[in-house]
Formats: sequence, C-alpha cells, structure tokens
Amino acid sequence: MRIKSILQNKHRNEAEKQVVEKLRHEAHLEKISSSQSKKYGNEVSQFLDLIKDESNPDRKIKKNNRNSTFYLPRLAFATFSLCIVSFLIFKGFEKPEENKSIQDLSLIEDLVELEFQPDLDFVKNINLENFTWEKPSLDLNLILIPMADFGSLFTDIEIIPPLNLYFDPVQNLPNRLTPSEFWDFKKNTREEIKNFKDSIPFLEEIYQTNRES
Amino acid sequence: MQNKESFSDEELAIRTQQGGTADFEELAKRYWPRLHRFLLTYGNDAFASDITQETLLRAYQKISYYHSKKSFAPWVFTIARNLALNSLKRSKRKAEVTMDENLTESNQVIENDHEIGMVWGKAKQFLSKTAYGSLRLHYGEELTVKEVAIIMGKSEIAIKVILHRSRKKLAEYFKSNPIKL
Repeated sequence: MRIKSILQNKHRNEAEKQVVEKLRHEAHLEKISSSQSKKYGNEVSQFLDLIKDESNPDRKIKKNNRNSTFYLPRLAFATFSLCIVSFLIFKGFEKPEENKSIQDLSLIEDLVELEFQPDLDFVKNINLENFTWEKPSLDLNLILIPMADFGSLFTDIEIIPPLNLYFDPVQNLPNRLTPSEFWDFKKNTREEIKNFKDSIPFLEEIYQTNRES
Repeated sequence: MQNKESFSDEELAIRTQQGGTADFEELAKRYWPRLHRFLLTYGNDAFASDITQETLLRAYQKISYYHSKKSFAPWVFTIARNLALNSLKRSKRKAEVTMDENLTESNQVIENDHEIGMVWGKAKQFLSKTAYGSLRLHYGEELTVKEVAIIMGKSEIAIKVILHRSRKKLAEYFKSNPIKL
C-alpha cells in the first residue's frame, strides 16, 4: 500500500492531503500577489532594459574583448610544454649527414685539415694498452642506441644518440666486442692507426705547429 | 496580429530563436516570479533576484540551444538551479574566509518568511533544499514528476520518494501544530 502510494505520487492519508491542499492554496495566493506586485514589475522592466543593452552590437564587441585570467595558467603551461617538446625534438636529435662514415679516411682528412686541428692530440694520444675488453658498469649507448633505432622506424629522421660514435670511436667500439674479438681489434687497430697517421702527410707538420704555438 | 499572451512558452521560445526580442520579454514576464519563488529555495530575496536575472539573461543568450520539441519550463528551471548551486559554492568559499556564514543564513530565514506563505515557510524550515525545491516545483509550479526529476537531476522514483517523505514530514508537523487555511 505504501509503495503503491509512493509510485502513484498520491497522499496516503487525510493529513497529507490537507498539507498538499495548503501548499497548493498558498502557491495560488503567491501567484496572484506576484502578478500584482510592483516589485516584480520593476525588476522585470530593469531586466528588459538589460536585454536591450545586451542586444546592442557595441556591447557584444566590448564583452568579447574581455581578458579571461582563468585560461592564462593553462596557456602558460601549454606553451611551456610545447617548448620542452620542441627542444627535445629539434635539439636532442640530429639529422645525420649523408656519406659520413667512420672508415671514410678522406672525410677524416678533411675534418682534420679544416676543423679539428686543435683536437688532433686525440689521434696522437691513442694508447691501446689502456683499453680492456671489460664492459663498463653502465654504457648509456647500450640503452640509447636501441631506443634511437626504434624511434627511427616511425620517422624519416635518423636519430643519433647523445654519445656519438663518430667522434669517440676507440672508446666505444671495444665495449661491444667479445674478449677474442677485442684482442683481434687491438692488433688490427694498431696497424690501422699507423696507416691512418701515414695517410695524412702533413700530420707531423701540424703537430709541430701546435707545439710551437 | 496575434496577442503575445496567447502564445505558449514553447512558441515564444521558438520565436525568440528566430530573432524576436519582444517574444522573450513576454517569457521574462511569465517566468520572473516563478523562478524567483523557486530560487528562494537556495537563498534570500536578493539572492533569488540576482539569480533570476542571471538565469533569464543566460536563457536569452543561449536560446539557440533550446530544443523546440521539449518543454521550456524544465530547461529554464534547470539553468536556474545550476546557477544557484554554482553561486552557493562560490559564496560558501567566501564565507569560509570571512567566517560570516552563520550570520548570512540566519538573515535568509527571517527574510524568506516574509516572501513566502506560512506553510511553505515551514516546509523550507524543515526540509532539505532538494526536498523543498521538488515540492515547490511539483505543487507550487505544477510541473510533472518527470519534469521535476530533470530539473533536480534525479530519477523519477527518487523524486516520488522525496515528495512522499516531505508530505509525511509536514503532515506530522501540522498534526501537532494545526493551522487554519
């Protein structure tokens, strides 16, 4: 009975019925008084003036020019994020230059001659006796190179990790060799370095010049 | 030319969508007192007037969103309720800072007793805002349970239960404190 009365939204007893009648009666009186109320009349007329003002195109332009401070922090955060992402994309990764190879002696020659004269000591100071076949505890290239290769699958840009193989060949190569390969590498590299030095005829002159300067 | 008073609310809303500001004036005249009485649920007279104005202004600005096949009253009352609740949230935050909340609430009760009838006043005193609002919309504004449910953001069954409990609570009160109509 109770659930039925709830679902039908009907009063259950005389007391509830009386309450509903009183509520309806008072609401009816309120409607009559409000229709005669000067207060409502004034408020409505004020509102209608506001609407007319709102319809005015000049006001709309003014309203649109209002600056909202609510979006400023979001905008600042979005800009900052965009800068970070742009930096990572364009500065963190470099586009490889074509035909640049570690084995390309002619290119090395050019570099030595034109750009890297002050750094020639790195060739002179190579001492293979200092290298061992043991891998260092953490070689970042082991992590970064597969990541870069994976990234290159989805873009046209070949990603070069920060630890560049080209400018640090001797330190990096042995770390990827097995012990037997390492000893072979060491033996062969001695000869290669000798050949490399011999292949640059003016190398000794440059050493000389550097020492004098 | 047909008199504007003979148009239904929905017809006036559609005419406003087509660019008739004068049609919205008629709607504003009809709905101002209705919205004001409903908004007394959430605050005092000044609060109700402010939100009524804001509601009708918002309705006028967003009239293009009104769906012509649906009833106009639930749409505008829903705007009113949402604006009132948002305003209350903001004022509550301010009151927390000024520690003035109790003073404001006590003033509201005194002022509201002058604005609404005695039975409605008691209902406001004993019932929650949701219950009073539902009662006001159903018995005061004569909206259907379905329309009340849409406005209050509840299911029809929930509104029926709220109305049942409200009736029962008021009946119990007036049983012990009888009044004459």
